[in-house]
Order: sequence, then structure tokens, then C-alpha cells
Amino acid sequence: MATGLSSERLKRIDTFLQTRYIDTGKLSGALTLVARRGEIAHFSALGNMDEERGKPTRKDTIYRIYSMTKPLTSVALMMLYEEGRFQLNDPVHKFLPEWEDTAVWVSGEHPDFKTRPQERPMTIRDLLSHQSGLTYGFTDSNAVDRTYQKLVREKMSDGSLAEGSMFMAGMPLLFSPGTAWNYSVSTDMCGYLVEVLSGQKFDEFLKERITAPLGMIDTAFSVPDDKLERFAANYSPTDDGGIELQDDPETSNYRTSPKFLAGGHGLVSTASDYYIFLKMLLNGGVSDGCRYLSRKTIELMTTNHLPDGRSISDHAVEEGWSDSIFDGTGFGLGFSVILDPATAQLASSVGQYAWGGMASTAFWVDPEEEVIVVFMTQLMPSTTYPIDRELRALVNAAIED
Amino acid sequence: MLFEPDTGWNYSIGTDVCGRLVEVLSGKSFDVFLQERLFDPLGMSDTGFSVPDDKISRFAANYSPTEDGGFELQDDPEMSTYRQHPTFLSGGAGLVSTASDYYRFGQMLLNNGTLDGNRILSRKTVELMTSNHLSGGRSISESAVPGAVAGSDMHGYGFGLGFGVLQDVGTAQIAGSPGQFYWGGAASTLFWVDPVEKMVLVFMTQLYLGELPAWQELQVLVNAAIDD
Repeated sequence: MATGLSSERLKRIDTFLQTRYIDTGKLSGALTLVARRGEIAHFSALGNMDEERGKPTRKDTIYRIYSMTKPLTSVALMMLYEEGRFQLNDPVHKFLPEWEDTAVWVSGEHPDFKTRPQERPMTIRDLLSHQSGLTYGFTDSNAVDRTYQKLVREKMSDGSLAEGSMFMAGMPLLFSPGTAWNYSVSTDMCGYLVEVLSGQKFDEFLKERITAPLGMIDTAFSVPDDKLERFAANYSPTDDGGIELQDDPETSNYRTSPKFLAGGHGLVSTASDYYIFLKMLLNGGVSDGCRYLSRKTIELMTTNHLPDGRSISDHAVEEGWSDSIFDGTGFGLGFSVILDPATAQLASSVGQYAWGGMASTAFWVDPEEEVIVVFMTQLMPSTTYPIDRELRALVNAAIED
Repeated sequence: MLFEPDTGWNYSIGTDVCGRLVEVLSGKSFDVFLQERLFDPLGMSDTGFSVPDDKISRFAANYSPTEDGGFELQDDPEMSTYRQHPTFLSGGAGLVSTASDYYRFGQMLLNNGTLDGNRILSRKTVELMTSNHLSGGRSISESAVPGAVAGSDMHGYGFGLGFGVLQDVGTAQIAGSPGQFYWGGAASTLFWVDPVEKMVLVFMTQLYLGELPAWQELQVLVNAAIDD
């Protein structure tokens, strides 16, 4: 076939997901889209999008994409970069003055932190590449993270981006900007920068400049009532290897527009919408004759931005991120980037860029093979199963030219 | 010397010494050599060490930044020392030129040493000149000696034979291409050649020792205009 993908081998994806994950009750459902050279070669809906209501997965099911929001936010900010609004090495405080003197944590628990001054101010590149010193509040591993769990996440659901920024800038950084990599609320701050630089609300900017012109009609911060029937349920794993309801679509917070427009995790989307977005990136920034980014900016975004060619695992401050999953994988501006498939121990190509969401959704773009994959499911957290790696092996195995 | 040769990088009068080497090796005065071997064949008719009276109407004023963010006159074209041919023919800093002239020079380099049928350099020499010559593949920032005139912030750029050379866009934090070579002038002028994208940029202004981010901004804007 014109895509150079074996349809027989692509069918293995369905068999694999069905027998390994769906028949065993580990996942409610899954939706996989594989495209090559601009053509969809495999688009397959398996299982249920809502177990409780017995609703089968549809090709237009709406999913919580969590951190797969980050690439859209990063693209939004880089559209403003292309207008000359900022440089990557500009200090963040040039635009958000509250970040000028943010201190670095040394010891102690909130509110009795001992801190030291930062070695240099946080830059916009630090935010886009998770080298800012910020953290997320997922783990108990350090005092800053524990404070985030208690306080920042509160602010991040009830406050505006401006309030969130003020609050976070008053908390200590986990490390001096640029000295390490840590997954963090950095991308939320990128969303706030989009607001400040463009003078538009972040959701309006995304809609006007990205989702509406691209035709990503189901991508937004909330699910309107008339789309509720397509909104998936979200699940968590149980101790016995099954799943339990984590967020019921009918009663979900996603039914109302959030106050905190989280550029790090706020969006819902569909496989088709996200594919349109990735296709634009693979096409060098163009979709249907409309230019979103220059090819050069996409090259810059999908280049490793960690110092001395380091991988995420080399540069990560947190144990959870320094494990082997991120060997041979660097980080660009909003995406992880494969530096070396052998070190990464992953069938892949140098320059392949990717990310995923907390509910086990995943995507990658392989510019060398012209492959795009979007995988949708809803199981929190994404570390439950290694589906992303398994899919990479299966999809790469289907390449037959 | 400030340091043992080849143990560091420091922006210097090294290129003035190169100009003297041209004289010694060619047996010609440096300005004559440039005229005969570069400016005439390349058609760089407004490039020289001085501005003759019949071109004074086209000679820009030069400015210095003021503390309040504006600028003040630094060199009036009418009274400028550039109206006289200098005794010291500075190969590091002596020329005046125009955007069109400098574009022709840049285009010659992009064409691997030739323009309008005149070969100035071989492709191999241009390749050699635009390769990084700093020891161990180091960047300018890694090689710059303590207290260097410039370069301590030039991460991701190496230095060839006369040009800064972009090594890695991630480290340099800017849109561009590996192998892109460039330099600028003390009055904030800039040129670069991007062999990957086949682009030449020449930017002219006259702000002496101004610390403008304009070079970065231009590079972003030009790269953002690439539409294929």
C-alpha cells in the first residue's frame, strides 16, 4: 500500500490491545490512529468508552488528553516567538515581573523554607523545556512537591492564570533554572505567557489561532452538553488488575469551563483532531494552505534543548523521571525527542518526537518515516501500563519499505 | 599575549594581523589586494576604506546609545575620519560598505566561492572556513578566555576562519541551521549565510556598541518567513 505499512501487521495492534488489555479488563477501551505519508493506514476503535453505560468506543470519542495539551500550548507560544515577541533566552520576569526574585529551595517544609537565590533568572526556554526549577506536586519526594500538592493545585483549579503565576512565583524553585529537568507546571506558565504577550485569553488564542483554523472542532477546555454522549469515562486501576470509575462523564468537572486555563493539562480532544494538529507539525507547519509555524521553528522545537546533549534521564532531578524510559531521549520545546534508539531501547528514529497524557493517551511523530500515531484511552495514571512502548514496537514492525 | 596560542578564544586584532599577512604574502598593499581580488570581481563598488566626496550624500551618520534608551550622534558623515583614506588599513574594522555590496560577498560564499562566473575561492576552502576550528569541537562560549572581549554567551556557536558558525540550534536557543555562519559589526550591522536554507541576510544600521537584541530578533523573523 502507498503508506508502506503492512495492513496485516497493523492488525496485530488490535489483537494485542484486545487480548492484553481489553479482554483482561485492564482497559475499558482504546482508539488507535496510525498514519503514514499523509494517509491514515489504521484507525481502530476497541472496547467501551463508558463501561458503566455500555457505550462502545467511537472514532469521534472525546478524551481527556491531559499533558497532550502541552504541545498545543508550546505551539501557541512559539507562534508569538515567530512574531518577534520574545527570545528563548529572555528572562520570564521581563514579561511576568513576579518571577524576578524567585528563590531556590534548600531545606525545610512550608512555610519554614530555607532558600537561596537563583543562580540565574528563569528563561522562557526553561519553561518550554521543563528546566525552570518548577515542579508538579505528583510525588511526596521533596518539600516543594508536597507544598505544590497542598497549595498550588488548589490555586490551579480555582484561580486565574495570573493568580496562579503570582502564587507559584512566591514558592521556592526545586533547583536553579537550567541546572536540571523536572516535569512541572512550566507549561501552565507558557499558557499564561501567551495571554500576556498576545493580550488575549489563553482559550481564545488557542481557538482563534490553532484549533478553529485547523478544524479541531472537538478540542477545548470543556465538553458542551451536545457533545456529552461522545465523552469517555475515565478510570483508575484497582489492586486486582481491573479498573474503577475515576470520572463519570455526566458529573465531570469538564462539563463547565475551568477558571484556570491549564496549558499543561486542561484540554479534551479526539484522535482525529489531534491527528490534524500533528499532521500540521509533520508537514512543516502548514495545513490546508494555512501556515501556523515555520518549518524552522518546528525544527527548533523538536531539537534537544537539554545541555551537553543530555537525555531526560541524565538531566532529571526526580527519581521517577530518571528511569530507563527516558534513556536516549532528550527534550525539546514541548516534546520529548529520541536522541538514540539504541540507548532508548525503542524501535524508533532519531528525531522522533512524542508525549503523552496522564490518562495513558500517547502520540508520536516520526519525521524520518513520516509516521504519526495517536493513541487514546482513559486510565489514570499513565505509568500503569507500558502501552506507549508496546505500540512503538508494533507500529515500527508494520513498516515494510 | 593574553594566553598561549590555541588554548583559548578571544576576539582580537588577530584579523588586522591577517591583513598584514595578505600584504607580506602578496607583495601588495592590503587595500589594493582587496580591490583587485575581491571588490572589482564581485562588483562591490561602494566597499572601501574611505568614502569619496562624490558618495558623501549616501554616507550614514553613526550613533551611540544614550542612557535613556535613545541615541546621540557619534560620527557625523560630513566630519567623519572615514572621508580620508586611513594609514592603518585595518582588516578587522576598517571598511565601509552597502547592503547590496555585502550581499554580493555573502552570495559568493553561499555559492561556494563563485559569483557571476568569477571564482574567488574553492568550495573546499569555503567549507574549511565555515567549519568549527576551536579545539575539541568546543563552542565559542566554552573556549572564550576569562574576561574575553566577547563570546562568553555564545553557546552553540563555534568559530571558523573569519566567521561564527552555528553548531546546534538547541544550545544556541534560536531558529536557524547548523552550519549557518555569520558575523556583525561594532555599529550593530549583521550578516549571515545559511547554506542549508540557501539564505543570505544583511542588516545595516549605525548604532555604535549598542546592545540591541535585533540580531536575534531578525534571525527569528527571517526563519519564520520560510514557507516551504
